[in-house]
Amino acid sequence: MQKSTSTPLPAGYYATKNTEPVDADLRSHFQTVIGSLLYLMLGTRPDIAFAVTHLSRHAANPSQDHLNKALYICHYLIGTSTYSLVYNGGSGAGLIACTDSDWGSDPTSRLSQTGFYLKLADGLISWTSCVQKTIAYLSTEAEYMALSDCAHQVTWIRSLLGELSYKLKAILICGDNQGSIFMASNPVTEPCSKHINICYHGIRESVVKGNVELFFIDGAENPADLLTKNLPHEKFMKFRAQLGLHFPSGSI
Amino acid sequence: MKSDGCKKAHLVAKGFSQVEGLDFDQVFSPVVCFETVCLMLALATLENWYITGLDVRSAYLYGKLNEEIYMEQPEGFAVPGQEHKVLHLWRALYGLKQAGLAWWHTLDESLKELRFEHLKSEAGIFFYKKKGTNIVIGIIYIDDALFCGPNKAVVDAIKVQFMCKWECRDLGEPSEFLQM
Repeated sequence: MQKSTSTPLPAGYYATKNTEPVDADLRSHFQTVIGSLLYLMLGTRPDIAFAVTHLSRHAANPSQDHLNKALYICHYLIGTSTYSLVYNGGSGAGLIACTDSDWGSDPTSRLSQTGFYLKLADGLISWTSCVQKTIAYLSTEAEYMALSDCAHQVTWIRSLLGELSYKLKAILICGDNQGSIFMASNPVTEPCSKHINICYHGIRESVVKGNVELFFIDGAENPADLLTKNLPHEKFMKFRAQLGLHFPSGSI
Repeated sequence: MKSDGCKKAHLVAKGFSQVEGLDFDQVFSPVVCFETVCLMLALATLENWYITGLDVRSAYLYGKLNEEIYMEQPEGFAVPGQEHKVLHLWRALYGLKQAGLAWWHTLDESLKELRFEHLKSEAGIFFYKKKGTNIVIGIIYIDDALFCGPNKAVVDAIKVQFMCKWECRDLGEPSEFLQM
């Protein structure tokens, strides 16, 4: 039996671009592995979302190191293959969303990372980990864009549940950045934020209409952190337990 | 090739030879996204709903075609004496570009007869609502379907009606959906 690893990728690992010419065999092997991992990630494994999307960006020209890291994720899965998302009907827990971002995390493009999830009945129902499309000058801006993306998702879920005749109160979105929450709740234009693309201001409308309510949580207690970077073991375990991923027996 | 060693063969159309605008128009097919499946399952546990599953046998073959499509006779199965003729397709075949969409339209129509409406925000979710009875929600991923609702009898009655329309495999209370 192969040894398993305790996190999807080593803490702080960052995949750098491969400058060697394309190796066709390596590439097709890498793409096969990543393709399978993507399916798992989309289906039931939010815990590997960051790791998989992070590596998949190198699918066009992977290096041997990228492939090794993809297999590292597989080793992680071996140790946790019995984990599944559990929805706890008795919890009575309503819809709640969490967002986080990692500012300027890409060392070459300086783009930031968005991570957010939606949780219902104590289990995740939707999760996203992606690189932002535009450069954020401030971490507040990166968080603001993450909040806004999350609000889009929340709006869609609202309209879906609305069609099923559920009338929802404001949905709570948690973030760990006061500045972005302030910006989303108040139509301020400040020198440092006036350049933000208009499409990200959709969140303000959601707040005004009462569709969402923003809530501040401590950065060290934000499980969405798991969707924005490779965390060290203890932190990863702590946040993973909050996603609703459990052993079949129900024990965490 | 199946796990028990028996071999399965299947007639497919050469979708790659189809010409856009002539043989097909739109090729998208509305399927339910994974997120919605998770959402509905979470909702079902919160509301303590009954869930039952089924899968439609060779679903694509039911799709009604809007386009006029002809196919060469399959090799080795040509009608003797009429080898020069081609086949005119009335229904979709696996491999046709529009097969998924054609099936969805056919399914949508038949579910309308059962008083289901697909949601505007998610075309793979079908909602049954009638005054004086409980709701039923259908989650349909091409040919895999889950029906859920608060009242077991109502859900089962709907399922029976659905299974009269299509040849289905009853999966009972599901332990997995889309291999998850």
